[in-house]
Amino acid sequence: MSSSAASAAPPEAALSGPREPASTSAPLASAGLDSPIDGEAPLLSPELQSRLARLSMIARRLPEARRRGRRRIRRLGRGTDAIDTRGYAPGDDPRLIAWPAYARFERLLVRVMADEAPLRLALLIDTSASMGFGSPSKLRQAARIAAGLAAVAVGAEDRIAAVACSSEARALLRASGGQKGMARLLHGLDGLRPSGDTDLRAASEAITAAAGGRALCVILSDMLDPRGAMGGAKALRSRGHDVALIEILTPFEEDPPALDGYELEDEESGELLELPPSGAAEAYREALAAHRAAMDAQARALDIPILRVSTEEVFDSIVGKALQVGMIRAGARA
Amino acid sequence: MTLAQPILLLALGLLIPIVAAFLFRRRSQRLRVPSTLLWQKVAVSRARDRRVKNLRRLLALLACVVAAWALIVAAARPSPASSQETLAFVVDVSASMGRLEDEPLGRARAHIRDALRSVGPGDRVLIVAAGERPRHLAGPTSEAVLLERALERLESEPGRADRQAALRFAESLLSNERAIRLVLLHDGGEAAGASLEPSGHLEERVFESPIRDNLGLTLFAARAPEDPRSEDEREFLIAVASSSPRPRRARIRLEISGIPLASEEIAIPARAQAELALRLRSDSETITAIVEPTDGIPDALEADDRAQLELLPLAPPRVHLLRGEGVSEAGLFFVRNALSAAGVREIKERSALEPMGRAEPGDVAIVLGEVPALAPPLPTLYLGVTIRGAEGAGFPVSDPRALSAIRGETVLRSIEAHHSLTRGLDLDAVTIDAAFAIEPSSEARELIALDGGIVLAAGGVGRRRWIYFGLPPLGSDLVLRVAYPVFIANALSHLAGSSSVRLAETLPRAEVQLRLEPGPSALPEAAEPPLRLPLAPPFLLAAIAALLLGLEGFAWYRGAVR
Repeated sequence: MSSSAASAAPPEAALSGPREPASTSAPLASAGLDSPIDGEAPLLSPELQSRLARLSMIARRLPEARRRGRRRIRRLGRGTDAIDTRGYAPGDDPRLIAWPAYARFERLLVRVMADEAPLRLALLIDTSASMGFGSPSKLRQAARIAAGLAAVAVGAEDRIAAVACSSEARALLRASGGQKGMARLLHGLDGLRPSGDTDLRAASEAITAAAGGRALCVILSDMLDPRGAMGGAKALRSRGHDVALIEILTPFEEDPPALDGYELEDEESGELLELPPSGAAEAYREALAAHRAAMDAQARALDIPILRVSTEEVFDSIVGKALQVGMIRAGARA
Repeated sequence: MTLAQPILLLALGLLIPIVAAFLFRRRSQRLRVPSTLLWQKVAVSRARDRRVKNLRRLLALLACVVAAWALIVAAARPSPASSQETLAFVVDVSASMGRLEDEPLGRARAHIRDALRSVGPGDRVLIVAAGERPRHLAGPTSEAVLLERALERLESEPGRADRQAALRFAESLLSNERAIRLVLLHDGGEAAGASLEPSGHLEERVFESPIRDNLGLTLFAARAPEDPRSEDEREFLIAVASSSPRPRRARIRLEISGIPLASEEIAIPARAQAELALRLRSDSETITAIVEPTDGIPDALEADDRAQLELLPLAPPRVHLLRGEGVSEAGLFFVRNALSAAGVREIKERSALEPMGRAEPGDVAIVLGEVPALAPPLPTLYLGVTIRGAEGAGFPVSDPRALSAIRGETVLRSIEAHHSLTRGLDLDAVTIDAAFAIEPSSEARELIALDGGIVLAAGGVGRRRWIYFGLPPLGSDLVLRVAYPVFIANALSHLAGSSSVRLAETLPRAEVQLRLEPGPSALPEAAEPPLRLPLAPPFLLAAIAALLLGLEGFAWYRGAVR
């Protein structure tokens, strides 16, 4: 991130102006993932796609598999090898509760089973009007990340569904049939356009229908939903899905310049706000910190990882963060 | 509308910089952001969209302009336009106007208050109450305080209204005024005096009573019965009138200081009067009669439902001693002594040739000597009176003539010994030098007759009750005997007994029955006051300005207007 550069530039420039690329992490630079940000560039080059195939997704609460895959995954409910235990959470199958452990520790624990099963990856891309901001836009960054995650999943022969959703438009994209399906998915992601209002709860309904069973649902949004940032995640979690959040903000939103006395107009609702003559940016940063802290608290309670990225963040940095939060791992499971 | 300080209107020029400040004030720089969700806690004002914000600003400008205008105009002290006219209100205060606010008098008072708010500073107002006699309450004046005090003194009276007399009285008070508007406020009820004639400046406003059913006391009296069984027994006479077009039922209660004494049901025919007589023993001085409807029909007037009677103890009457011609001081001496022996404390002596002075109810006159044929307007004892000049129609006895033939020998032909007048009166062995006999009318009662004529007779009713005794004080030696003061006491008791009837103050029957004036009125109807402001114009404008500025300040504080 380059917050100092955003603060120095005029507010209008900060909203959409080009940015310096973020620093890349050394291990992944060698993998060719440190491509500079270009809003017009293809979402995913074939080379990058093949490199991403070396990674694999991690689902913390694995959904039930319908057919066998080549991947050994951790899941609840099926298989014979218990490889771990963890705390019980609403939505878990009660048959997996480890009663001997309960007798010893007086805590509800569920057994984590090892099994070979394909993963259902469901990508929820927020296409509301607010996602059109930034350079590249938040939506472009979301599409790029979604494409990368799809490439990881295709490499592991996982099943992928993507839903692009706002209050005005909804699109369902699937990547089945190997590289051809991946090409179709990339084409669909490339054509996404921002419009309408953010409604993550409604989007969660759509992704549930599209996933066709329990899945790893990844929500890509700026999380600025007036109805509640965690509304969609909670809805998905209550249906037994594994959920991960990727919050995408522009540098302007993360570290705004001095906007004292400005009149702000909401891109989605048209609401007008007048800012105080001093201290507006500082107060905003405090509000953002409180907003994120509230999200983190809820995410912890639901065992949901959150990945926060900027629109100007390069892909290797994002992958590095994903590895860090445990969303993906290097190499496929044997 | 006139202004006391019109020069202050120049301050309206201040509105120009106010409007300019709104139109040309520095606009905030505007920026479109993806979402204002996190900025909301920072913002000092919010608007749903631009149209709402523009509307709010326009309303704020309008409120500011109106508030400034109202303050400036209030400072100029506006008042309703003055027509320099004198407005006279003649208010019917007869009993049927009632006392309560929703009764005709209360509504008339409210009408005058409304009219006072609409008069200009140069206008003058006169208020006259039209009762049995006109009563001047205030004006012509423009002093609001005096007029308000006059309105507070405006109360109904227990009687009828003579509106014609009140209008004439008001016109006499307005003789020096140029532009006059005379407004008669009444309930349309029957009035005393002549009917009203339309004139150029006379208008009327009728406030009819919303309820036309009324029951009320028209008579409450007490008297000593003819044959009392005890000294404190009295006969109470009560009359109740009804205005209803249907028969009514009511209960009459007699109370002493709130303690029930008697209660009686009475039926009153439609638009008529019913009477009731009750004999009760009571030594109380004050008795209250109350009439209450028992048929559930509402009652229009409250003032006629209660009457209070003062029962004064029977004391010897005050005597007016009227001397005619030829009365000697010696004769008066004997009469005075006899009156004193009968308990009389107050004797008013004057010549019978002078006009009769003021007499109170219960007073008695004693006439002596030769008098004109004019009867005093009160019960009278004539002692050997002869008439000078032609006989008058109102004089109770006619042609007293001297009985000269009886000199030296008294011949008593007859005496009605059981009459209260002759009780204790013994004429045996009385030497009579001079006596006068009369020819009483057929309704008179002959009590003593001598040879040659009747010397003691009594007649008349009420205040016209009379006794004629044909023996002048010095015409016999009766004055030297005990029988003379006894006779005088009997006579006083007989005459004053008629005035021992005590009457309570009650409303006239026409007022109780809410009788309306026959036929439609020829007077034009007074219009409603043109303007009804809850406050004086300057205060009202200042209050509006304060309200608007307060609202604007509140909206600014809440961030609705920036």
